Amino acid sequence: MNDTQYNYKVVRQFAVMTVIWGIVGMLVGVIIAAQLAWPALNFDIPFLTYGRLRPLHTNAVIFAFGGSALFATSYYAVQRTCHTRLFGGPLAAFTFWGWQLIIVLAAVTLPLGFTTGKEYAELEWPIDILIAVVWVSYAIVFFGTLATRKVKHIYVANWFFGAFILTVALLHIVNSIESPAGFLKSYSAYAGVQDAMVQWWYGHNAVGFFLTAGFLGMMYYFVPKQAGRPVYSYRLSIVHFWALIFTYMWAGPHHLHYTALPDWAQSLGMVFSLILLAPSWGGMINGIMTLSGAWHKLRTDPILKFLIVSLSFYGMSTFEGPMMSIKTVNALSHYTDWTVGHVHSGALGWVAMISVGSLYYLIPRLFGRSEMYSVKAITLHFWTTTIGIVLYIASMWIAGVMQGLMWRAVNDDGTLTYTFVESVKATYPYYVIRLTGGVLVLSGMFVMLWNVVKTIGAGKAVEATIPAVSAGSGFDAPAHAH
Amino acid sequence: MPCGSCGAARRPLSGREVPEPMDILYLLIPVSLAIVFVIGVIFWWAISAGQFDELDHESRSVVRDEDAPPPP
Repeated sequence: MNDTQYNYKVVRQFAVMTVIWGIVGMLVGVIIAAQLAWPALNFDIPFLTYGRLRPLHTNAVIFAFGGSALFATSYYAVQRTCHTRLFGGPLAAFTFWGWQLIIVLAAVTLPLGFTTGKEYAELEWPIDILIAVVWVSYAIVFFGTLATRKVKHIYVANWFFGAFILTVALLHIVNSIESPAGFLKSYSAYAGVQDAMVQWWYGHNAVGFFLTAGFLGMMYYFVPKQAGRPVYSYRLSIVHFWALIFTYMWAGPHHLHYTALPDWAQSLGMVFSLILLAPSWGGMINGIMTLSGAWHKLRTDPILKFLIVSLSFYGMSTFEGPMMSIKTVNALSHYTDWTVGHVHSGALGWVAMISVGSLYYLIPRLFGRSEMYSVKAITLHFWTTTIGIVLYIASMWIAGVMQGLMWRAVNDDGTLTYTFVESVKATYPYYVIRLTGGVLVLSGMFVMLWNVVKTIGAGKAVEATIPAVSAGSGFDAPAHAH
Repeated sequence: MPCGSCGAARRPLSGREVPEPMDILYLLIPVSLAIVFVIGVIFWWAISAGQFDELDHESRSVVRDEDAPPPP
C-alpha cells in the first residue's frame, strides 16, 4: 500500500464506468421514449415492455450513472481536500466491484420482471442487502478518510458528500424493510397509505440527498477548480449546507397530494417544499457567481459551460419543484408529463450536466494530461445536450399542461369532455419531440465516450503524490475528526 | 374528499367513517427529529472545533491545491 500517493485507481474506474452507464441508461430511456410514441416497438417481447424497461432506465441513470459519478468525484475530492489517501485499503476497490455487481444484477432482474414495485427502490431483497453492505463500506471509506485528514478544515464539498452518504444509508434501510417470500420475492413491512408515506419519504429524500446534496458536493469542488477561483461566498455555502439538510426531510408528502394521506401531512409537505426554495437558490446563485469577474471564461471553456448551465437548470427545477408542490398547481400537474419534464430538467439539466462537466475536468488529470483529447468535442457535447434537454422539457411542459386541462375539462352536464385516450393521442407529437431531445442527449454521450477513449489512449494512468503536511494546514500531526 | 368506490367496501354500512390511523408517522417523525438532533450536535461540534473560523483562507486553499510537476 502506497501511502504517499492518492488512490486514483478507484476514481478512474468509477469515472470510466460513469460514461458507460450513462450511455446504457440513456439508451434505455430513448427506447422507452420511442415506445410511448410507437407502442409496437416493444415487439411483444416481455423483457422489452415499457413496464420492465422503465425501472431499468431509472435505476441505470440514477444509481449506475449518477452513483458512479458520485463515487468517483467524492473519492477524488475527499482525498484532494484532506491531503490523505482513501481510508480502508481494499475497501474502496470493494465498493467499486460491489456497486458494479449491483448494477448488473439490476440489469438482469428488472427486465425479467423481479420487482418490489416501489419506485426507485424496485430491486428485490437480496440485492437490497448487497446495496446496504456496499453503502456502509462507502461510508467507512469516506468518513475514515475524513477522520485521518491532514488538513484541519473540512471543505464544504465534503459536508455535502457526507450528508448524502449517511442519509441514503438511512433511507435505503428504512424503506427496504421487507419480509422475503422466496428468493426474489418480498413484501414490504408497511401496507397501504403507510407504505406510500414511507415510499415518498424515501423517494423525495433520495432526490434531496442522492440527486441534490451529493451533486452539490460535486459542484462546490469542481466549479471553483475549473473556474480557478474560490467559491463566490464560502460563508453562503456553509449556510446553504446547514439550511438544506435541516429542512429537507419533510418534503416527501407532496408526492401524495389528494390521496389517502391525511390533509395536514400533505400541507406539511407542501410548506417544507416551499421553504426549500431559499437554500436551493442560495446555492445556485453562489455557484454561478463564482464566475463573477471572470465571465469571459464562459466564452471559451466548454467545461465551465456545462457546469454553469447545470446550475441554471438546478435553479429552474428547484423553482419549478416548490411551485408544483402547491396543492392547487399539483391538481393540474400531477400524473401528467409535466412531472416527467420536471424530473428530467433536474436529472439531465442538473445531475447529468454537472457530472459530465466534472468528469471532463477529472479524466485528463487521472490520465496524466492537461485537458481532454478534443476540446471541440466537449463544445459539441455541450450543445447537443443543452438543445436536447430544452426540447425534452419544453415538449413535456406543453404536453403536461395540455393533459391536465383535458382531464379536468367537463361539459355543462357534468360529463368529461375528453376520453383518456384522446389525451394520449393529443400527446403524440410531444412524445416525438421528446424522443428527439433524448436522442440528442444520448448522441452527446457517444461523443463523450469517443473523447474519453482518445484521452485515455493518448495518456497513461497516473498517481498523484500527497503533499507533505504544511504549516498552513492547521496541524502538525495527523488529525482526528472527533 | 368523498370517494366513490375505493374505501366503501371496508367501511361499515352505517356510513360512519372510521379514520385510518397513520401509525407510520410515529416512526417517521421521531426518526426525523432524531436526525435533526444529530445534525444539531454535529453543527455544534463544527462551530466549537473552529471549522468555520477562517473561511476565506480555506476556500482559496482548495483552488491552490494543484499537483506538483511529475518527477523527471
